[in-house]
Amino acid sequence: MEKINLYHPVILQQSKEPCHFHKVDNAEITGLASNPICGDRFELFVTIEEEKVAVASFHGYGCAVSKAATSLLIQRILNQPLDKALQLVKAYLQMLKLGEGDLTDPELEVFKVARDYPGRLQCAQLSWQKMEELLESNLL
Amino acid sequence: MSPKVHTIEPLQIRKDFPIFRNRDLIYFDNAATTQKPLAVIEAVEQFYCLTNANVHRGIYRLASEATDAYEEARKNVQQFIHATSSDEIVFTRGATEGINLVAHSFVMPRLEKGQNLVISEMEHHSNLIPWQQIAKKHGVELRVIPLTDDGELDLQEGLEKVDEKTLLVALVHTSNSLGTINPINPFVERVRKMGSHILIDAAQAMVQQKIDVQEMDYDFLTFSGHKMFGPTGIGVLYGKSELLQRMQPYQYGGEMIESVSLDETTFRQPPYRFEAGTPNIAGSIGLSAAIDYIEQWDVEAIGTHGKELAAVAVEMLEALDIQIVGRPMHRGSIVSFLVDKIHPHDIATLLDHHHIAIRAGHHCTEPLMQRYDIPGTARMSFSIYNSATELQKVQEALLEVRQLFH
Repeated sequence: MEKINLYHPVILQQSKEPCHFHKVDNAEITGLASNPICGDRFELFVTIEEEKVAVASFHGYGCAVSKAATSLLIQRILNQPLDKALQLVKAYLQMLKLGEGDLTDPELEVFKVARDYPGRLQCAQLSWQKMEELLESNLL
Repeated sequence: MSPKVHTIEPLQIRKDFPIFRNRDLIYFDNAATTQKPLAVIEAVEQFYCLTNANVHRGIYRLASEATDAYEEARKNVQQFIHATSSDEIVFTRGATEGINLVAHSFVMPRLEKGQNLVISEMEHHSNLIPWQQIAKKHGVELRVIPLTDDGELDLQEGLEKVDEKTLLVALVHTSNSLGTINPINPFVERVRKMGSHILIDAAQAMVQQKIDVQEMDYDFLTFSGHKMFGPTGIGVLYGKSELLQRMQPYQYGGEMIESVSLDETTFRQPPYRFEAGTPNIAGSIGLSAAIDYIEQWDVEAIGTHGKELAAVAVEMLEALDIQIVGRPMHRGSIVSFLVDKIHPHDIATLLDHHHIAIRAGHHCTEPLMQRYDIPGTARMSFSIYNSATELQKVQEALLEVRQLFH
């Protein structure tokens, strides 16, 4: 049998015990990362204070890959300056798109493997794409 | 006709399907599409190599042979579903197009305010959206037959939905998500009493039991070739002659006209009126070859084989304490399930590592998923080349899935 690469310990761990996995009632920015094809559906909560991501959390339902990717997204952008956060989100999405890039984050690099799985790349992209949209609209 | 074979021997049958020679594969996604036997592949190839020409327009011999082959395919379909005449067989792209054809050419021109359309909660999107959109546009009621928790039609309430104002009941024969085989006869009796009509979506039913449209008294029946070992892009709409005669064309173009001037067109008789443009000739010949292939066996035996595998699957999943979605009394060859809280896509990816192909998702039945408050299911669906031995491997793989996620 082939090795199950997609389910790297990072992905399994983050999906079983996601961080910041809760709703926030009064978040400044909320967005829905949803893929109707597979039923994945995460609400994203963000509050920006003084150009920094002061609050970030998520809640919802998705596969191991999308949940783990969202959990790491939230951890990475929390307490980051807005422009830095957006830069990271873009670098991650670029890495998924091209299979390489400037990102030096071993945990996030794990998700490159999704490129090799039919239909699963979108699981790794889902929340990050929505977050890119949310942060960009807030920068303007 | 040679006598039918009543036993299904998967190991022998696998040899008819080249894909199993070329890939290490346990294929449990037959409700999405079946694999193709060599007989079908060769029929399509032979047509292109020996007989290819356009139909219904050539004077030369080759064109006449192509036309004969196309019309022979139509006759073969007619005999397979026991239609009165081959004029009742309209070739389409698939079950979806057949439904849209009935929606456009039968329902829309007749629909009046105050009338209603009836479907069920377990319809595939293809047998929901056309009716939903028409109902919205024409301001008529779309009535939905509810389901029981077990995934069966609520028969009593369902029959009450059909009244003298019902123009059409559009019902799935066998649910592609739950495997439920629906009781169609009571609905046929009801529409006759109410002066209504019935369309049956038989996409999942064609290799499950004998379909006799006369005996069953369906007004319309629609199915796809590719779910019964035929090529993709070919399907059939059966309609009673008296209804097709009174229906307007679905699309306009070549092949479907009697005469054309710049001001006027007269259309050919059915089924040609509904087959605008060059049809999928090779597809129809492939479908005909698929029917010949199927007819080696008693079709009930094929259905029984699928049902038996589904029963083995249910037993295996139950032993693992896995949630089965849909508990119908009468189940076809389809089983949907959920493993703990593991996403169906994760199950499908992990089974794929074992070269087991299953489907995961909402199976184009989103309202059904909402009914059971689930995002989707993992689904296994069986065919003649599948065996209980393959299910053993699924069991092992599922144990591994559990282990990984706990």
